[in-house]
Amino acid sequence: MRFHYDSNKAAQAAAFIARLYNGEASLFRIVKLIYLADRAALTDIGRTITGDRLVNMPQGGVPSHSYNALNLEDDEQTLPEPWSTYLETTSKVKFRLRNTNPDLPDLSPYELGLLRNAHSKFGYMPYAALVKYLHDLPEYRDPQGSSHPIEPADILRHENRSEDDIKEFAILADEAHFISTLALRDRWRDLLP
Amino acid sequence: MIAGETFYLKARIKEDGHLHVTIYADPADGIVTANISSDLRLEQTCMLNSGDHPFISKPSLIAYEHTKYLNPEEVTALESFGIDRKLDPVPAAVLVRIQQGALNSNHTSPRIKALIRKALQPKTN
Repeated sequence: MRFHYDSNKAAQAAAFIARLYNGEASLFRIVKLIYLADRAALTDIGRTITGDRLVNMPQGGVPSHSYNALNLEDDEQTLPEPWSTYLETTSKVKFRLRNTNPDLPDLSPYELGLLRNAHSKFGYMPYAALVKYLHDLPEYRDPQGSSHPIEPADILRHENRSEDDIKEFAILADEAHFISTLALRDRWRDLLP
Repeated sequence: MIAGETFYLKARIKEDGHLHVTIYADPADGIVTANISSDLRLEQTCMLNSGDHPFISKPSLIAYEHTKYLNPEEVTALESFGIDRKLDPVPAAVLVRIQQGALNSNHTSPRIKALIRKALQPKTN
């Protein structure tokens, strides 16, 4: 099952999380809350909010593209687009909203609700307790210091979705991926003889 | 493309693919598509029944959970190689129901709602 990563939605989800923390949030909290909200959406409607690739890391699951975008190198101070539209760095691992009430045009009320739920439930859970919670999720496998992809169908099976549901979600994901990559496919076609 | 058109995609998994309906279309803005599903566990904001479209033979709904916006470049690509086959368009009254459902759905983003509102505005000449 494959999804298409939507960096605009991911950046808006991060901005919404920062807003729930009164304008400033850490890398750890942003990626963990997006992971948990993406996971909840997957289980409920068969797709994630951001379309990100979910991976296990030593401190639990994360959305990998979002993690990579926010995890700046030592010599970097500016976030890439579209993240920098919403957030600026206050330290290597903390981010502040540029606008205290950002416009979030691509997130539905349902998706904002999932992010709000993740924040209510896990937003103030102590670091060690949240890591333990993530390690106890059935899809977690210790990546031995690296990262390891999580197959969305594994999460769905652990959450007792039927094989028919998983097949249906795979078809929906394939159609959404096809639509999201149409322009890219068109450009590649031009390069073909 | 025009609002109300229905089509199947040439996606990788073709069997059991969903019928898509264009719920907004404007050459400058792009299009919004949604698919028709018979999974009645989904949000039941816009129910469809036989008579609403020749394809529909049992209670179905618009799966706003999976609504997609395509920009004009993506629409050009969709039209040139992305459509497997087109079916009859939905009748105008059904299209309006689907558009109003999009405005009421918990799954519609503000960007898509703004486009749908534009489509539902009375035309003035």
